This record gives sequence, structure tokens and C-alpha cells, in this order.
Amino acid sequence: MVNRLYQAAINMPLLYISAISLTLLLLVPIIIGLAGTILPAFNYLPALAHMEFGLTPWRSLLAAPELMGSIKLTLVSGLLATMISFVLAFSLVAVLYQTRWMSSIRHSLAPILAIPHAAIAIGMVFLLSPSGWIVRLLSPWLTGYERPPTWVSVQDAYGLSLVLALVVKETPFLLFVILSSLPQLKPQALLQVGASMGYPPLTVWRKVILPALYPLIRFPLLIVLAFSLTVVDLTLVIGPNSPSTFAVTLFHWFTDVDLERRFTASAGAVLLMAIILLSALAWELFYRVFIYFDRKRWGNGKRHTNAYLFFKTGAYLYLGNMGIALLSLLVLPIWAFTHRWRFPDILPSEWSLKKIQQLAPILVELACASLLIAVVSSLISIAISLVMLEQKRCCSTVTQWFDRLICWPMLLPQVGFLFGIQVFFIWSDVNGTVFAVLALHTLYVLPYVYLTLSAPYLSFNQQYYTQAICVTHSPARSYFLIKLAMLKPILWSAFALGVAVSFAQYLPTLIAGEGRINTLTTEAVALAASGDRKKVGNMAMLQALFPLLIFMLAQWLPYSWTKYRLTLKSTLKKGALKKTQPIK
Amino acid sequence: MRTPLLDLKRCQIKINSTVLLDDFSFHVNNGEVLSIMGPSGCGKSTLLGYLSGTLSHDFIATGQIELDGKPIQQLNTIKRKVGILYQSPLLFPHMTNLENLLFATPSNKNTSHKERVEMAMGKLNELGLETKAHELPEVLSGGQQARIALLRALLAEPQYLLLDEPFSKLDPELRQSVRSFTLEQIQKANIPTVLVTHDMEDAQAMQSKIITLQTQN
Amino acid sequence: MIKYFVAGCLATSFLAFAETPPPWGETLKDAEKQTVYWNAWGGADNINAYIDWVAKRVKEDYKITLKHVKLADTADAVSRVLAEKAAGNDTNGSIDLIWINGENFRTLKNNNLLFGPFSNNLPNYRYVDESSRTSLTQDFGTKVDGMESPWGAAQVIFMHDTEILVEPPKSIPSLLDYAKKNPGRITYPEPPQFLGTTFLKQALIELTNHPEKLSAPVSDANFTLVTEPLWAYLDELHPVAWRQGSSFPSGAEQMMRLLDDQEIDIALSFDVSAASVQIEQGNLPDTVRSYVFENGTIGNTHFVAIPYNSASTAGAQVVADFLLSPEAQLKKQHPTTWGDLSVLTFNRLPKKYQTAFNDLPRGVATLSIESLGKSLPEPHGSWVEALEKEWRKRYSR
Repeated sequence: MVNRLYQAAINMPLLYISAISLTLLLLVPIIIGLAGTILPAFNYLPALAHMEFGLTPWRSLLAAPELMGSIKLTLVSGLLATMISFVLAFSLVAVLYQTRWMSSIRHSLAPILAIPHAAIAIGMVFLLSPSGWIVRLLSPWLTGYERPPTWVSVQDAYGLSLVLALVVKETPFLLFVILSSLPQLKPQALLQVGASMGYPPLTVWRKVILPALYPLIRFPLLIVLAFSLTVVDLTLVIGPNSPSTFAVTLFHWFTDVDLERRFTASAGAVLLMAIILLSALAWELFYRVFIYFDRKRWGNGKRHTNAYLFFKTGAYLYLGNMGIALLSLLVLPIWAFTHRWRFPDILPSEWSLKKIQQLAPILVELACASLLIAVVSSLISIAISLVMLEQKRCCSTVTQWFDRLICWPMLLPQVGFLFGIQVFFIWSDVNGTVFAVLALHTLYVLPYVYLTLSAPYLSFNQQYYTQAICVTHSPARSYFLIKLAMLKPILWSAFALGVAVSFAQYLPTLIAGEGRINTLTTEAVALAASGDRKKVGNMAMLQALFPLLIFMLAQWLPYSWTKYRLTLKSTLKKGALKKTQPIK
Repeated sequence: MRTPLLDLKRCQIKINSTVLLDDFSFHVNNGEVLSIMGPSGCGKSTLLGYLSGTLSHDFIATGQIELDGKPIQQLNTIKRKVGILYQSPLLFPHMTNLENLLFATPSNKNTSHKERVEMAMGKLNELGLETKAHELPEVLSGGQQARIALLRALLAEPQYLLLDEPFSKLDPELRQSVRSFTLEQIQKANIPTVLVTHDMEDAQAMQSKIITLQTQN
Repeated sequence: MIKYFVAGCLATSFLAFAETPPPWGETLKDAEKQTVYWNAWGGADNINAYIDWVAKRVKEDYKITLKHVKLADTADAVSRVLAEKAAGNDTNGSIDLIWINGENFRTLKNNNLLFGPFSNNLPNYRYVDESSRTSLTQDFGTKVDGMESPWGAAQVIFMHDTEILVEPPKSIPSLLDYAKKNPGRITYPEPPQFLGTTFLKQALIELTNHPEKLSAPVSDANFTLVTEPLWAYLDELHPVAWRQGSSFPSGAEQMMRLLDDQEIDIALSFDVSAASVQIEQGNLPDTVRSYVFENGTIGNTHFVAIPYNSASTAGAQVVADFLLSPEAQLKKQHPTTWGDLSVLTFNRLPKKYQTAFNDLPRGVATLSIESLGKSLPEPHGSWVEALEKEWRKRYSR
């Protein structure tokens, strides 16, 4: 291995040095974030004059009245949401695979994934609350309600609305993951083999594809689990608030006036990491136990299972979920252009552009900030990914550490980890600058961009590039004009994904931006539960709109670009000919 | 004279306006193999799809498939009782070898789980693989996997068998032994079999009738 | 922790006390071209618009660039100053001016994290009569000592829709009776949100058997004995409250939204003109009216303060002074701008402004100064934390 590293260093010194520095650059924030969480948890933080290790933070954590309630809520909502999302996504694939429906659902996935989850959650609050759109649509003619009912349908104490919001967010992602892993299993052939032995498709899905698929999607499921256990913005919007989930409780402690709370919060953040680890283990154990008992059923020869109704219900629930997401997105612009909309009117009684005019300066400012941060962090991430992937293509030993580290930001709970980094930012006096916000955004955008680019980049037929060098004798020109130009579609997709990920970030902006740098997301989330619905509607609408537009652009541009370029060229040529003719 | 067990009558298959097969008929007896040969694109696999009921709806097929004198072309794959083998053995990777066989073994009120296990173990015994019963298929060689795949197909008690180039991915030295094993099993099960291949040796080793299709222009 | 701050800050604060303030003309000169980051709660559009107007005016008059850093909670700014102190940033802090009062002021003042004293030297402070309101010199029981400059006055008001609720309950006990008869229609913001804590204090003042203890630090009183009736009251209220007390609104804005949706029947606000402003913006029906309790409601003063590590103290002082000017105070009290009560004393003002204040229109749902009635003093600041802690212990689970 040393030999190969040496070779890599000799052949492409610049690339080698960049790759090594980028790996270190990724390692540094992870170490700082972890140290900034773990050390204060044991009462050590020289910056705040805590110089001796001790267990005081743990004692005050254990004494906190919200502790048990919020942990229970976190576990229930996190595990339940992950489980339900998986079941729904799998059921949908099982029921609709190879039908025309499936291909339209497949096309709907990317745009849904591009929309920040906070925007959908905000819409869900407008939709599902007792005075929300659904009750308005049904009142008073059906329900008889002249006033909103007193039941609790959002921010409920059991976190069920939070689970629903998580499920709405996670099912499309898991569906995407399942659909991209399935081809490895050749499901069509498996279904035919099954059919030839008299097994109807759903039984094959249940007995053959489900257990074979699980190992392929284990890691994405763990990401979903870690996300559901630690999400802050979604919970702030639609979760219960006394107590809230553990992550949100920690978030409040971290931002408390009393700096001593930070230590308690750090101890809590370490506990939260332990909770993620234990939940992941419990999840895996549950899977093992399930498989242990299920094994007996695989070989029992029964051609029909009672999972039929289960799968069908799951598939319908998925469609119901998407219906909720769609209505949630629809209600945002309605509120944005409302002047007066009182319960139980189905639509606003007075419309107006007043709110959007009044908000225009701030909306423009927020949108520009959001776009700038998203575009720059996505471009940086693409550049880093290209360097690392080129190095990986030449010598994958150099990038193995990078490959391992890249997933950490997705798995570590943001609350805790980011506050650990914040201490470093304040110490180095960059907190509240665009630089700090960009750095944190890049940390979260990079994994998605890198993973998206990986396979297509590495499978690029390098002979095109060799050919190009032979012709142009310029490696740089060949790289940009041939290799990157041919990889255009995936570069655009990675860019659009990066923008979507950046748009969705709440805590990184809040922590690095110090309230000086705000995006549509931080403003929308801060106002979601409390603020003026017209204002929130405006912000959430734009928050959903921009990633969607960039996504559509990314779909359309790479394919029409070549055509456009050719037309442009031929018109120019014709023009040039006309000009030269008279001289002749 | 034996009754023709699998009978294809005046079959025509079209995609869009292109006719792939026209007025095509054959019959195959019990324990007998019919080989269909021809260059790629001649419609071999399409024909197999028609016979197994897995043909995509883009194709328009007319004609009649009779099994034991009864038309079956209206039935779906599940009801046709057809065994299919593909180029790869498609053993389920997460199930042990025994579980793969048990999966195919029919269950009914008269057979207990124990009997079904015995039946499947018997098959493994025939191959001398009883020690690998509780291991995953990945430990087996290609030839062993191919044999288990055949036994799995036959355990489901099919009334006819379709083989889609089942030997093409095997090493040449293994091919001969798998071919003769396959023929042996077909004769033992005594069911009509259709083999699609482009390798003349396959067809000859299976002692089959041969139909060669031409590319339609 | 506190020890560390004290050790670190004593030196600087002694210096500050020893110096005599520079003449105002010099301050004005220093202030030119400075950028002042004003951290102020940014949850209400009308207030944000007013701050934008202030920014425009100080740019014109004093060439100061004023940037409004919108906060969801003033405590965020306080924790930032603390964090900067901890990180050793003593001269170039990110905050130059904070909209502040009560607990947050006490934290900063006690930790010597404020610049000053400065407010008594502001030219426009001459219009303020300190004797007109106790809260001008005693911010929630903490001595102001010139470390913050008054900006506005507030009083708790309640709102109800006259279409739905004709005779609203006008005391804390009658509020409970109403909730029992109409379950799910009464609530209050969640402490430690300041309006929520204010509701606790309002209830405590009305319910306790030892009201005299509230003006002294909580450590001097038997907390359990004094607050017992409050918890008994809340224990009764929560089961019949909105969402059965499982969640609470986050502040006045959400309460008004719930009032508009008719999910709840009574909303409260610290902003006397809130109802009129929201009716105008189409967020409340025009049948909503404000009212106060029979025995008075809590009132206080809000201020602006300058952190010790601000790099633009001159600019911040000039902004604070502008905020105190009759022009700015008049505009602020205009019901369609904000409607926040002026801190200036009427009879100290020039004639021109006296007339102008008299001529201010009032919104349909805004109470007159007379109908606002008696403003109850805030309990000593130390009660806030004790009440919030006990509330959290009892109801955050």
C-alpha cells in the first residue's frame, strides 16, 4: 500500500496533495465538533474557564425534569417514523412495480426530494391543525363545526403529527433508495422464477425480495433513523413543545442565556449519540429476530401470504401521504396571497398582494442570501468531489479515509456537533460571517454531491479522455471540454441536489450565521408555529420554489444545451457567410 | 404413438407492425426436448416469453398453446405450472440451499413440514450436497448452482419446462456434465421441454428435435 | 463561571466608571460612518418597519449605518455576548445595541457585560421624568443605573372577539371559571417566553396571599408558601385549557392567530395597540376589542443597552438618543406604526409635540391611557427564573 501511495504521489503530485489536504479539511471539523461536544460533557472547556474534568453536567442532565419525557418521545417518534416510512415505501414498490403508475411516481420523486422538508411541514401545519384547510374544506357542511374543534391534530403530545411529517419526508427518500438498489436483485427475473413455481408477485416480494433487499438498503435506513431521532427544524414546526423531543430540548439548552446549560446540553448531546447508536443496534436486532422467525415461513411452500392487505394498505397510505404533501405545498401560496381568510371559509374571502409587496425587500434579501449560500456551497462541493474522485480513479487507497469520513456529518446529530464547532468559530472570530455559513453548508452538501457523482464519474469511459489528449495535447482542455462536458447531466443533478440540501439546512445557518445571516429556511422555521401565516406562507413558498426551479433547470439544461449550441453555431455561420459574400 | 403433450398451434407474434413469428407450430412429447435455435433477434426469447406467459404487453401474440389438449394461453404464469430456467441459476441469495428447495416444494394438507424437508433433502442427497444444506448458495460452484436451480424448478411439479440458454454461462468443461444431468432429470420427470439456445452442442446433447428460426425481414 | 466573569470584567468596568463621558459633540463625530448592529426581537412586521425607518433617519442625520439583527428571543443576544466574553473577544463584539429589559438586562449588568453608564447623559433624556414610572429606574427590581436607555412602555392587555364573547372574564379567578365552562378555549404563552412568564406573574399577583413579598428578591421569601395558590390554579386550568395544556402558544402572535381562527377565546399581548394593528392587517376580525383586568395588569418599560465589547459605542449612543427623541417617540406611538407607549413625560415636552401627542389617532380596538387603568409593578426580577424553573419542573414532562 505504501508503494501505491508513493506512486500516486509521484505521478500526480498536485492532485495527491489536494486530496490529502481535503481529507484533513474534512477531518478537522469532525474532530472539532466531536471534541467540542464530548469535552464539555465532562465539564472541560477552557474557553469558558472550565479547566477540570468532572461529572457535574451529567448530574444536572439526570436531574432535568424533561429528560425522560423527551427521550421517550424521541425514541417513539424516531423509530416509528423510520419503520412506517420503510413499510410504506416497500409496499408501494411491491404493489406497483412494473406498472405505469410506478414510472410516474418515479418521476415525481426527484422534485419532492428537492423541496425542503420544513416547507412541507409548515404547509402540513396549515393543513392539519384544527383550524387548518382540511377542516375548513369539510366545515360546516359535513362536520357541523362553526368553530374549529378542540382536538389536537398538530404539535400533539404523543408526537404523532411529527411522525406523520417525518414519514412524508422519508418515504420518497426510501422509495428512491429502494428503486435504485432493486436492479441489483433482478426483481423481474425473481418474479418470473417465483411465478413459474406458482407464487403470485406479492408473495415473491414478501418472501424473496424483502429479505434480499434489506442488506442493500441498511445504511440509508440508518441515515433515516439518525435523522428522525435528531431532527430539530421539523420538530420545531410540527412537534410537541412541552416537552419536545430530546434534540429540541438540547437545542433550547444550548441557546440558553445561562452558559452553564451548555455543559448539561453537551452531556445530553453525548447521550443523544448513544441513543442513535443504541437505536441502530436495536433496529438491527429487531431485524435479526424478525428474520430468524421469518425464515421458517420462506420454505413453508405456501403460495399465498396474509401480507396482501398489508402491502395494499401501505401502498394506499403512501399515495395518501403524497396527497398530504401536495396539499401542503398548495396551501402555502394561498396563504401568501391572502388578505382575510377566516375559519371556516374554504378559500380566502379577500386576496391581496399587500403582504408580498410589504415583504418584498426582506424576501429578496433572504432569497439572495439563500441562493448565494446554496450555489456557492454546491459549487465548492462539486469541485472537492471532482478532485477526490479523480484521485480515487487513479489510486483509491488515497481516498479511503475520505470515503469513510464523508458519511459522518450525515450520521452525527447536528445539535451538539454543530455547537461544538460554534465554540471554535467564536474563538477564531469567524462566527456570523458568510465564510462560516458556507463552511458548514459545504460540510452537509458535500456528502450528497460526492455520493451522487461517485458512480457515474468512476464509470466514465476514460478512453474518450485519452483520445482527447492525443488530439489536443492539453490535459486541462480535454478534461473540461470532453470529460466534464460529457458528465454534464450528472454534474447538473449533483448541483441541483446540493442546492436542495443547502436550502434545507436550518441549524448550520442559525449557528454559523448568528442571526446576522438569515435564509428563507431559518426565517420560515422561526416563524412557522407562531408567526403570521401570510408571512410564513410567503417564505415557505419561496423556500420550496427555488430548489424546485433549479432542479427543473438541471433536468432541462444539459439536454437542450448541445442542441442550443449547435443552432447558435449554425446561425452565426450563416451570418458570417452573408457578410463575406459582398466582398467576394 | 405418444400424445403430443405441449402443442403450439399457428402462433403469430408481432411488435408494432413487425412480424417476429408467423404461422409457427410445433409439438413436444413427455420427456422429450425441443431445441429452438437461431441468430439473436430471431424471436427465440419472445417465443419463450409467450410460452411462459411473461411476454410484455407490447407484443401482440395470437395462436394457441395446448397442454395435454387443453388451451393454456389465457392463463397467467402462476397458473400454467411451467418451470423456467435462465442463464443464471437465480438461487435466492439470502436463503440456504435447503430453503431454496423448500420454497419450491408445494405444501398441502397431506404433506407435513417434515415430509417436505425430507423430499428436499433427498434431492440434495442425489447431488451429494446434503452437507451444504444449511449454507447459502454462494458457497457452491456454478455447476452445483445450476443443478440446484433445475431441481428447484422440478420440485414445484411443473407440467412443462422452458430452458433459456441455461448452459451458456457455465465453464465449457462443466457444461457436458450439467447437460446430461438435465436430460436425465427431464426424462425422470417425464415432461415436455423447450430449450432455447444458439449452441448446436446443447441441442445435440439433449437428444432433441431442432427447429431453426430465421430473422424475419 | 460567574467568578470568572467578575474577575475578567472588574478592571474594564472600573475604568469605565473613572472616566468622565466625552462631550456629546465628540460622540456625534465618532459616530459618523460607524455601523451599529442592533439586536432586536424581529417577530412583528410593524416593529421591524419602524426600525427600518429609524435606520433611514440615523443614516440621514448622523451617517450611521444601522443594521437590524432580528432575534427570535433576546436571550440569544445575551448568550452571544457571554460566549464572546468567554472566547476573549473584548473589543470587537458582534452586537452594538440590544433591545432589552428584565432578566436579560440583569444577566448582562450583573456580569459587567454592559457599556455605561450612558443613558443619563443622552441629550433627549431631559424629557424623561424618572419619577413618572418606577420601571424607569427599577427594571424588574434591578437598578437601571444608566446602563440602559428607556425606549418604550408596555402594559398587558387582553383581547376578545365581541361576536363570540360579550362579557370577558376580568380577573384571574374568573378566567378559570370561564375555561371550565368552555374547555379548550383558554391558554397562555409557554414560559420562558416573556409574555408567558408575565401571565404567571399576573396570576401570582392576583392569587398569592403574600403580595408584599413579590417586590423583594425571591431568596427572601418562602417560595413554596407564596406561590402555592398559583400552582393550584394552573393545575386546575391546564386540563380545561387549549390542547389540554399539552402545548402552549409561543407568544402573542400565535395567540392572535388562534383568536382569529376561533380556536381560543382570549388572547393577551404586551402591546396595547396589537388588536388595532392586526385588524388593519386582516389578521383579526374588526369585532375584536382590547380590555384589562379589574385590578389592573402588569406594565413595564423596555430599554436599549450597549454591550461592553461593542466597537461602535458612539454610534450606539447616538441611536439610543434618537430613539428617545420626541419625533421618534411620537411616530412609535402612532397606532398604525406601532402604538407602543412613549416613555417621555408629557409636560416636559415642547408645546409642538404636546399637541402632536394629543392629536394621535387611536385604533378601533386600542384602549385610551385612562381605560388602561392601573399598571401593576413587575415583581423583583429574581422571581422570573424561580417561576420559570418551577413551571418547567411541573409541566415540562
